[in-house]
Amino acid sequence: MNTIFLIIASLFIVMVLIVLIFLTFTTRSKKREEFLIQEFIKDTLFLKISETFQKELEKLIKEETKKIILENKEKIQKATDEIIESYKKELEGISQEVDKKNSQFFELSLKAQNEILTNAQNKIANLNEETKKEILKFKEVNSETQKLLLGEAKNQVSKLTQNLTQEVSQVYQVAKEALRGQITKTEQEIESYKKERFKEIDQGIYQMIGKVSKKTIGKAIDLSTHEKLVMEALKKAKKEIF
Amino acid sequence: MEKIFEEFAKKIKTKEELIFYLEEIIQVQQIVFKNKGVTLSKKMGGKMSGELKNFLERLEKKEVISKNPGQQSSFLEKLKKYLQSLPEIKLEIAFLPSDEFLTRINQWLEEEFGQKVILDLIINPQIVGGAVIEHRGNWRNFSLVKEIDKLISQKSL
Repeated sequence: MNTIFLIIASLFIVMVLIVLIFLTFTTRSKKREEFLIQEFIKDTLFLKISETFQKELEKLIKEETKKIILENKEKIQKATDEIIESYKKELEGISQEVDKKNSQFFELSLKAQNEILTNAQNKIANLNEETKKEILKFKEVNSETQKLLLGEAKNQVSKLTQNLTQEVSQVYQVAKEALRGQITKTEQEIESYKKERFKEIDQGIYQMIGKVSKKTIGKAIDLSTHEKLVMEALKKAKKEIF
Repeated sequence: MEKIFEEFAKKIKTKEELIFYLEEIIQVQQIVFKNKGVTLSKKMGGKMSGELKNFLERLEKKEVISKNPGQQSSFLEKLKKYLQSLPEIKLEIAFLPSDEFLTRINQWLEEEFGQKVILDLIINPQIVGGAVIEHRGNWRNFSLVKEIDKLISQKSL
């Protein structure tokens, strides 16, 4: 892209230069033509020139001027062509150089890429290898550690189990004794409670019997028995209070 | 005079009857001085019970009671005091006694005490049977309810 831009910029500059040169020559030719006319007019002030001569002269001047302009144009065209040719050659050279450089750069970058890739792959392969080795080592170490830990854990568990069994046994004995005492106490309490309850129930029953008896006996006793009981009461009262 | 009063008192068995007769006597006492020269039985007219009237008429015939209001009043007062002085026995029993049974009790008591005794009778079925007796502040419970309670308390111990 840069190369193409450079080429276009160069061509533009060349074209500008050509135009400037053409304008310069054109201006100069006109000035020169005017100058000659002026000189000729000056001379005619002193010299009386025939009209024919004047016309011839003007014609001559015009032709001469045309010639000069043509020559200049040719010269300019030639110079321009030379310049363009020279630039073209130079640009072609530059372009070729650029292509060459690009090609070289591309090759170099490709090579570098390949090298980097190869190195990276090698490194990754090495790393993988080392990692595998490390993992293997770790596994070995881990396996041993596990064995050690497992052994230790088994020992600890065994000790703990023994201790625990002893403690549980002690606690069991203590709890058993306490429970036995509690059971005995509770049984005694239950027995006492039962006795009290039975007593209460008995009392209730007897009270009920009493109530029922009071209600039923009174009605069941016939009049002569009532009278007999009253007379007996009076006889007892006689002995005690009369 | 005592025997006259005793005769009248034979008709009275219970304190209820005694109060009834005492109230009649008081009523008669209130009209004693209203019609002078008239017998008590006439003054009473049909206002009083037959028992008291018959009793007074018999005494008037025997001239135990004159037409003199003062003497009539004195007699009534003596009768009242006699009746009030009769000894009482409080007798609580479980049934409503017949008149015959009350008479039997009265006779028995009269024999035992040697004088007329008024029964202050209370009917209470809750004592079941027997009697609760009180005499001059002395009290005894000879009821069946007491026996039942005693039996139950012995059983429930």
